[in-house]
Amino acid sequence: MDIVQLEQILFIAAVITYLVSGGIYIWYLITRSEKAVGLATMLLIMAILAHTLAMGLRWYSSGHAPMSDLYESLSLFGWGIILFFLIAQRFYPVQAAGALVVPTAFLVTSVALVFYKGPEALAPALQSYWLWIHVTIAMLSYGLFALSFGAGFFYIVQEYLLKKNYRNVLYTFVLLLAVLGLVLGLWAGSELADPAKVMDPISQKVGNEYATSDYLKIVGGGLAGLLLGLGLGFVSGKGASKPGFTNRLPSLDVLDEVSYRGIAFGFPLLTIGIITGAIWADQAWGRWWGWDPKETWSLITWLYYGGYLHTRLTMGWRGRHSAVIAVIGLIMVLITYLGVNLFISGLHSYATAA
Amino acid sequence: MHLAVLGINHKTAPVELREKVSLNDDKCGSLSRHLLDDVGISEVVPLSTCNRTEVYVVASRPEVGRREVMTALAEISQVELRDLEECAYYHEGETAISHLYRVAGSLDSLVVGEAQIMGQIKEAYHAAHERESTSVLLNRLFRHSLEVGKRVRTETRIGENPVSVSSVAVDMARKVFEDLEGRTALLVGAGKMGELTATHLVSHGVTSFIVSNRTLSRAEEMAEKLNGRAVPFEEINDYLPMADIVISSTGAPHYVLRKGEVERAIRRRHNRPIFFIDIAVPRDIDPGVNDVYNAFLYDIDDLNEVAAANAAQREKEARKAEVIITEEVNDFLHWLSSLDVVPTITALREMADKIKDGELEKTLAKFDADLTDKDINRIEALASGIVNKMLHSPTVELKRAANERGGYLYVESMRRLFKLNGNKRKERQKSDDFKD
Repeated sequence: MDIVQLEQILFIAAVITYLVSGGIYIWYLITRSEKAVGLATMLLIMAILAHTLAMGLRWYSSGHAPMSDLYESLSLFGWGIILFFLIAQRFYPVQAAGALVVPTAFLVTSVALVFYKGPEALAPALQSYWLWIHVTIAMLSYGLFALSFGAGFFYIVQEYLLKKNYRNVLYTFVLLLAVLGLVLGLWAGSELADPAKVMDPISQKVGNEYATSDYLKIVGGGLAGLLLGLGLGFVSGKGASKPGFTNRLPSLDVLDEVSYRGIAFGFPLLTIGIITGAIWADQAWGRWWGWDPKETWSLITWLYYGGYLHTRLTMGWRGRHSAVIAVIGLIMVLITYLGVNLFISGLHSYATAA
Repeated sequence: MHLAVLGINHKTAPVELREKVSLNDDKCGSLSRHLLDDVGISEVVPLSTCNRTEVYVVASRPEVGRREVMTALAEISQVELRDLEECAYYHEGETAISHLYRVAGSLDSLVVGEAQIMGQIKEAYHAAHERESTSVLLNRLFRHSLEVGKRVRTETRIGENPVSVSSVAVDMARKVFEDLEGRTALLVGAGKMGELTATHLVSHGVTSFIVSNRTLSRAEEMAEKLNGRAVPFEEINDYLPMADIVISSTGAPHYVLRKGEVERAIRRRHNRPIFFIDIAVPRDIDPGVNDVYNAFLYDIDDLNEVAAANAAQREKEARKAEVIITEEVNDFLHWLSSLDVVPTITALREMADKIKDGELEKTLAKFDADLTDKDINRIEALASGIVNKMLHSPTVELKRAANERGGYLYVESMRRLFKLNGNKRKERQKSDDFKD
């Protein structure tokens, strides 16, 4: 077995273990069995060790820090999420957040698998020791923001349950998940639909011409999503309206604190990430800042989280408003991180699937 | 050897009788001595809590246990025998065992799932053990009952969610504030329910109390009890921003705390949350307060609803606990049956015969064909003779001991010395019984 194979096996093992561990965290949320948490944590530690080893092997076999393509950086992102979750769990009773955070890390790492490429020599533009400094710091900040997102999400759920005292919880869950399912289903359906490209003879613009089968796909996707959402909403709503469910989630105090800490540590890291990026850009391209899409979006994200800290520290915001900001923040991070690479071309686009 | 229990509890007896029949340590001691003087009773453990008084005994005959314990209990508590007979229950054998297990699992408690009963049983048993009024049977039964109670608590969620209004209130507060240590509570109205909830808060670490009441003297009285300070009723709103938890229980016919004031208070607290508990009827706190950002309001209906739902949950868990108890009762009965003298003697004989036959076969094989049938008969008679003579005295002693106090010790020892039990687990448990 060569090193590349070993790296792949270790990484796949880590991804599968994240899935299993995430499943056990969800199981914990349902049963509140402390044994489940112990098992899930142990699996998580084993997985992150395998993952670390895989990254080390990658570093060794490619001869450069494993942060150059999308596979490597997604892998690092997932690694950061798990690392910070394990740290947070060590100091705060946030086991329940594992039910969201660990599956997120699983998703991120399994997307990394999709984009897997064998180790390659570094593109000339990337040949610098700034690579690992810049990317590691950026990824660690993303991991912290993901943790903040998980805690913020559960803050919103827990606050809702406490305010409502279990009344109408079922309807809300069904409604929200049904709408979410419908939207995602319609989107998936339209992705599957393959409309013919037709040129409009008058305006000379290319437009889409949808056939009946395309409409069927969209409607079918929407319906499937709706049904799935209804089912999930019913099951989770039933579970959440049981007395004692609030006991399984951490207290508002802890969730608020963890969500805040994630950003309080993530923000300076993001700042350093941007500064190191600028220094590197100056060395590689001869300019500090060029309004490249990645640069622009990272600035937007930086301002966004700066806004969070500002409202929190000087205006005394805390609680639901801060949690909502932390949840939406992850969308900003994902646009900066993936959206820019995958959908917008720019100087950072070497880090894509292509 | 009949295991039996006689007792009264909150379901069978009114509180007046329970008070009289309640046994303190001294009374437990003299009752035990009194009962043990009787030849028919060999072991006694009295168990007395605020909701029950029960006496567990090992009696030679069932009627003996019932009559003796009933009169002794009536005598020592100075109640009419007739009054006691009316309210007392008497169980023996399997039902007595299952009764103790249900008590230990808190299934028989006033509040199903409460945690104190285990400690009370432990104390009662230790006191009886000190008095040397227990032996093999009750030692085993009580230790086993503690294990059963523990199993019920860990394997079911019977004690998980609180079922009283004041503990539900505290539980909910802890979903907002992780830790109540060092928090400040504001009591509006110095009523009884408010005080009860406040004591729950004290046990969860709340140290700072502000009490206000229409009549300031009442507030001062309660503030002294809680080690807090009393403030005039008109100034509540000035103190609101300091409070993490507000408990309101006045008899006011209108709202005492309004939305606008709460909004202002939370702003002054820089959005730190306040948890409101409104246990007054009619309500003291404007229900709109629950809509205020970072204010959480639970009124008496909310709390009752949670308490009822939690109680229903406990009932469900109690059914799981019954299954565990049936299992454990069977386990105990199995052990108990091994204590019977007759099967022990049979087992002893079987073992001896097996050894004898084996040895005979080995010896006879060495003689080849040199022996006549007569010789063989003689050798066989020799072997049987030795075995029978050896076993004669233990057999007689066992039979005699069966009807004596502590007779199980003989059976136990016999079974252990000659390894008459195949089961390893039982073996281990038994050795536990001989400790201390």
